Amino acid sequence: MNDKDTLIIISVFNEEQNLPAVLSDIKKYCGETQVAVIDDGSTDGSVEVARSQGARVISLPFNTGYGNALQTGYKYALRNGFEFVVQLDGDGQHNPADIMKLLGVVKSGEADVAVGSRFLESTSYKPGIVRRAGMLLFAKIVSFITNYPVTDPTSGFQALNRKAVEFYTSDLYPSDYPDADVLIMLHKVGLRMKEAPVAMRANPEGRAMHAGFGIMYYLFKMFLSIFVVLLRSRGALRKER
Amino acid sequence: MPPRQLFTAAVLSILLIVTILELVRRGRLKEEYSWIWIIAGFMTLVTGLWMGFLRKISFLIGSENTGAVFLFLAVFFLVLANLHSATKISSLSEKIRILAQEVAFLKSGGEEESSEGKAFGGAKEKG
Repeated sequence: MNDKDTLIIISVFNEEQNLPAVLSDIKKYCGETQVAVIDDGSTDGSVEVARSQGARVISLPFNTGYGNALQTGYKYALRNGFEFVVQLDGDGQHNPADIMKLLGVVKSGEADVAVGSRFLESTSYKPGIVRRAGMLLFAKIVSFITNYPVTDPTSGFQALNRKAVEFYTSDLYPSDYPDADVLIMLHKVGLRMKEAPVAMRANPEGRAMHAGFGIMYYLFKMFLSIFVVLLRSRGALRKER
Repeated sequence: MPPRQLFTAAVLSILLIVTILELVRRGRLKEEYSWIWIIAGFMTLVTGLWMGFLRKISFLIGSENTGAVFLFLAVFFLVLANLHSATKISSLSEKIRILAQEVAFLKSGGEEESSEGKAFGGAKEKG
């Protein structure tokens, strides 16, 4: 399979252990579909591993944040004429076997953004109590605001069409944690979002994006960001593109 | 105000203004960030030399303690100065973020001429 209109972007920060399996699985399930590894200032051998597996690598000069790394991938996709983008993490949590499922949702026109939800179907993935409580809280908030039953507001496993990719290149796209606030932004500017069930695995090394005091900052930042998004007019959100 | 306090306030204010001007002269402080501190220096000088000014402000605020009023104004000024710095830092952070992306694209453009990317579909022509 060689989907020339689609780019798969993998955001990576020090994932030399997990990246080989991810790239291998992508090749298995997606054939020759183009892959761009966005290296967010890794200090291990992630870049060399990606290159040795034949992936296109875009290296940021230093760590700039998960959201900024993703946005770099979106901009690359636009500059190179891709119509669809699938984003997944390089730590092995996201199963490449589900890429086609997500892509199918946006290619069929059902939505502009397909979000892989680990909670739509029964799953072996069991987050910790605090994480699960946070996810439920933001899921409720986003569901209320968007009037769509969101189950996984923090999923980074998404497929986007070009319209959504263009919107994600806005300066308002969060450079650190693009989660529930982005889903609300999509709703405000009239882009359609739909969840699809995917299987997710816990980080093989047990790492979590948010830990310790980082959880407090994440909660504060997310509430503030959601508040600010609600204050911004639709016109202002569109204008920043 | 006792002459010694007056003298101390005047000397410190003048030293502050001179330091700021010297930093600007040496290029270590940009003019656009220096004005707020130069104004602070002059205001400190004025306040130190002309007690009537501080008494007028205190009267307007409704305080009888000119010392406390001076401290309040100084702290309030520092808050504003920090807010100004924070907005500048936010703007610079954003510019650095965008520059980092452009650097990544430039580096990637140079590396596309090598064998990179060929295992996954090869190069795609721009649409």
